[in-house]
Amino acid sequence: MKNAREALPLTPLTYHVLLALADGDRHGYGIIKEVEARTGGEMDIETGALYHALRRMLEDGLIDAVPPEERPPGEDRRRRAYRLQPWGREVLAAESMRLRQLLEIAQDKSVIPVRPA
Amino acid sequence: MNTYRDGHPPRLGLWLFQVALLAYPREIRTSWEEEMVETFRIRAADAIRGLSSGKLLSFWVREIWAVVRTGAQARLGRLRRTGSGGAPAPRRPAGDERSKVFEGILTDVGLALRGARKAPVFTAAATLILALGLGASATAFSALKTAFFTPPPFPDADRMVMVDMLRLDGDEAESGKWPYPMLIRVQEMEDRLIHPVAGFDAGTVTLTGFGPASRVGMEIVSPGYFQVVGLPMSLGRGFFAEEGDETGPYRVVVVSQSFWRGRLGGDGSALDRTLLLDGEPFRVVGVAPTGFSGLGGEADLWLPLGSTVLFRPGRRAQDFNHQIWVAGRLRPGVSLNAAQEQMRSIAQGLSDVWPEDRYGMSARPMSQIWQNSGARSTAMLLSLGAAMVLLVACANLAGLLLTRARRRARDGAVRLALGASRWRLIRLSLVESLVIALLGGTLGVGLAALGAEWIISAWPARFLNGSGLDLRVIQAEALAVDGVTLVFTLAVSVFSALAVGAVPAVLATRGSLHARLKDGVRAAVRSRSFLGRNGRSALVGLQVSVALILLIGAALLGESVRRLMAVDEGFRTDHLLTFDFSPSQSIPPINYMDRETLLERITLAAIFDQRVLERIEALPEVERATVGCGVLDGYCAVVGVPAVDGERFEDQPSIGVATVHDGYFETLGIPILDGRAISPDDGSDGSPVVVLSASAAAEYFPDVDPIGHTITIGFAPPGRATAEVVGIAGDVLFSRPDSEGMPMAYFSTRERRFANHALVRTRGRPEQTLPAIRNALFELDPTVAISSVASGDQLVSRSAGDRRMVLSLLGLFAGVTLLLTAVGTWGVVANSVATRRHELSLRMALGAEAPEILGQVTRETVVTTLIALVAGASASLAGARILESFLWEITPRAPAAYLTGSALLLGVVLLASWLPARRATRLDPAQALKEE
Repeated sequence: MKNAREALPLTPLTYHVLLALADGDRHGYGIIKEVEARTGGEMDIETGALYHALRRMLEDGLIDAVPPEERPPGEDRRRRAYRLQPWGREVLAAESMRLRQLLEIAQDKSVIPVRPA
Repeated sequence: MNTYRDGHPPRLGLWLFQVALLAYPREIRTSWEEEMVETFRIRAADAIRGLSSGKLLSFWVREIWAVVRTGAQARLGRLRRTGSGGAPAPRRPAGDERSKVFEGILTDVGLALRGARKAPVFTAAATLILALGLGASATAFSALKTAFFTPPPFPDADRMVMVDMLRLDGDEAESGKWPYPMLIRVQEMEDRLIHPVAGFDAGTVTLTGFGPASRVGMEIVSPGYFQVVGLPMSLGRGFFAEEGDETGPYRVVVVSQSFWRGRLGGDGSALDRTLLLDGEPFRVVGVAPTGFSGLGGEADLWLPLGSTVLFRPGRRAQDFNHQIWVAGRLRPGVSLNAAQEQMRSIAQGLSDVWPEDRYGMSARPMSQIWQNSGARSTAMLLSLGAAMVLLVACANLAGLLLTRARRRARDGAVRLALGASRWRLIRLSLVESLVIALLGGTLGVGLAALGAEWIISAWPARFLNGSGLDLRVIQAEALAVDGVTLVFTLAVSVFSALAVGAVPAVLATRGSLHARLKDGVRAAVRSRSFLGRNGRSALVGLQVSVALILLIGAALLGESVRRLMAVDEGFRTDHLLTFDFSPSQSIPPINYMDRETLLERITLAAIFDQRVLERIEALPEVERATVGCGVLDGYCAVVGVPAVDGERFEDQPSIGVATVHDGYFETLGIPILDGRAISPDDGSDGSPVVVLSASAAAEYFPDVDPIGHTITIGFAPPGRATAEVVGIAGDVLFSRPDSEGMPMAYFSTRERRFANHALVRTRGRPEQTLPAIRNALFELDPTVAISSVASGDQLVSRSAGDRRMVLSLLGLFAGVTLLLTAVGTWGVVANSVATRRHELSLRMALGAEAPEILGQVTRETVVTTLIALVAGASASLAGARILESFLWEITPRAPAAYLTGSALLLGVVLLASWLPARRATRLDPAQALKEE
């Protein structure tokens, strides 16, 4: 069994893409939109960078393309949708835990307030 | 850079993105390209809606850069596994040099971009300089490409030919239209290598029923016409065989796509609608192929050949004197030579059938006609000019880079000392110039888009010195900045970047490390190396020489155009409005066959003229009005003169004929030198009278006073006329000022008729009189259309022809190079002052006076300039031949142009060096010495 912790840390882009897929399948444009909305436009993903990351994540088994028969009818065939794989969810959780630990250290050292203002 | 409308991403942007995708290996492209482009398309649309133009530009740049970057990463097999788990990342093989170099270049690009941002003034100046050169090149290239390489917009255009009928007369061959019966005969031959063939002829008709009557361009075509064109009809059909016959159902019309959209609503209901053309009903049966405006290039309507009978009653389609152009297609696999050969033998056969004349035939590729020689030489000249602008821009940029390289000499030395390889430093330099090149190229393409728009508006509709069927050679659509132009600009930018960037890059890293570490800048200056003053002087010299060549060219052309415009037209061109009006539809069409109706028509038309003129002259804005045939660009006939005083000429010399209404000479201000003008009584009693121009009188009556003598003119129907000379008028320009003067004979419009061309002497500005005239004519007869409106001044400036466009572009190029040269010189001197502060201050401290310092600083530039002027002038003399065909009444070696150009340049250079040099005289020695 692979250990998710060995895959850490994730690049910010990978992390954001995994997060975007955490609550449902999305196609490329949907992912960009979701990340943009969640980060208030802070995280701006170029099309080329996104697909580069997607290709890597597909290879690594973090995500998978949604099979055509499961796509809603009438959906543009040119746009593939992507789905988080169990392994991807594991890695996402592990990275989130790692970030939380970092966050707690920062709070302990009063770098940031314990509760966000 | 591009226009953004309705949130649709511009084609250019998508295209660039797709090109950038080539950075990916093929296997990735095949499975991902479509999806990536689709996503990008939506994002681009978002961005266009949501972002300001500045942000938008950065969006494009970032997107495309991201594709190139990741694509290159993928290509080098370096899919990094940064923390995404899965299989452990494959270790890079130890000696993977390629990827290391690549990584290094990526870093350099990053460095270069950062450097460009940190020195915004330098970046902006360099970008702008290069953009001017590249913009000029891209503009000229788009014209060149269209003039040389763009095939006519028809499928298998290489198989399309125009077939010219040649009348062989000794050695002379006059090429052109076919007598229609010959086309019929040739069409019946089964084994023709040119198949299909079709005849066509261009003209205009009056369209009524759509607001005020208007003249619309049309072609009367034989049934196979649209097969020859080879494009699919937008709607409906072309013509059936029986519609080509004058006994057939010929009242059908095909309309152009723009006519269909503009006037017929652009939908299917347009079919079967009826159009009134010259008062005759025609049923719409089809809409022509997209963008097609006829093989003659100016048609909005196509009528079948059978309808000839309506427009020229009595002149039958089958008549020998019904002449048409013929176009066709080579059969697949047939060479032009084989077809030529066959056409020659067919023509021999025709000479047997019609033995009065000997005939030949020649097939020309359509592409040759589409791009005639006038367009080609113009495009060549412009390209040459543009290349010079680019050269000056590059020299200028090289100067800037040299200065910078010098400033960085110490910096580079430090890096070398710390162990950086020389190649590494050179590479960074090159990458930096590439970044500037790409920025400049992008801006240059933007400039080129503007330039192309301007050329489209200025490019003459027809090149006046073409021969045979003269087409509108440059299609406006083809001139737009497209992929080919982009690739060209990109290639030129990269090439210039490497050419310009390499020298400073190499020089900056050469020589004694120690010396440069110790002395830095001043060592380089003192060394008088290429990096020092000599190099920059040479660059200034190059700029001055090239600028002089362009200035001389512009001056020569300018003088030609000025002289053309200054030619005395022989009549008053100010306050003159000219236009064509179509005859009233209540007047029957010309019937050439029937002398009686023809004469009746002429009489009716003259009466109608009278009513038109009365209406126009009643307007308070109008001083005088008359009807005649055109002047300068108008239509008059040229015919033969068979006899004078009954004595026959062997070879009939040519004379221009014009039919004029009363008051023609007074209205135009043409002096009557002897005898009298045409009067209202002339022509009605059947004894024709004629007024000759002074040159005609001198030519045909060299020894006698021509008044009272007779001259016979070989008119078309109603036949030749022997007329009594009643007056001599001053010479006027018959067509263009650079064409030969034409002796003229003036007849009364009550006797003959060529054209309905009105000439109005206005009190105020001619253009402002037009609406009132339109109203007056509409009230008189709503079926009368006004067309070809021009003021006298417009006619004069138009008569200078395509030289004006060449002049304005060349003038623009010369202006740009002059500006660049000035900036370049200024930079050199300013820099020299800055780097010699120490030395100059010392001199001043030791008692040097201001003029002495000025001389010190500028001497070198002035000497360089003088040498460069000599070089530039010699080059101009050597290349003068190129410009020769564009000039008029001035030799390409006219000293005035050389002197003017040199003086202007010298003045500009002096000014550009004096301004910064002045600063040197204001140095405070104490201050400057303290700084050191």
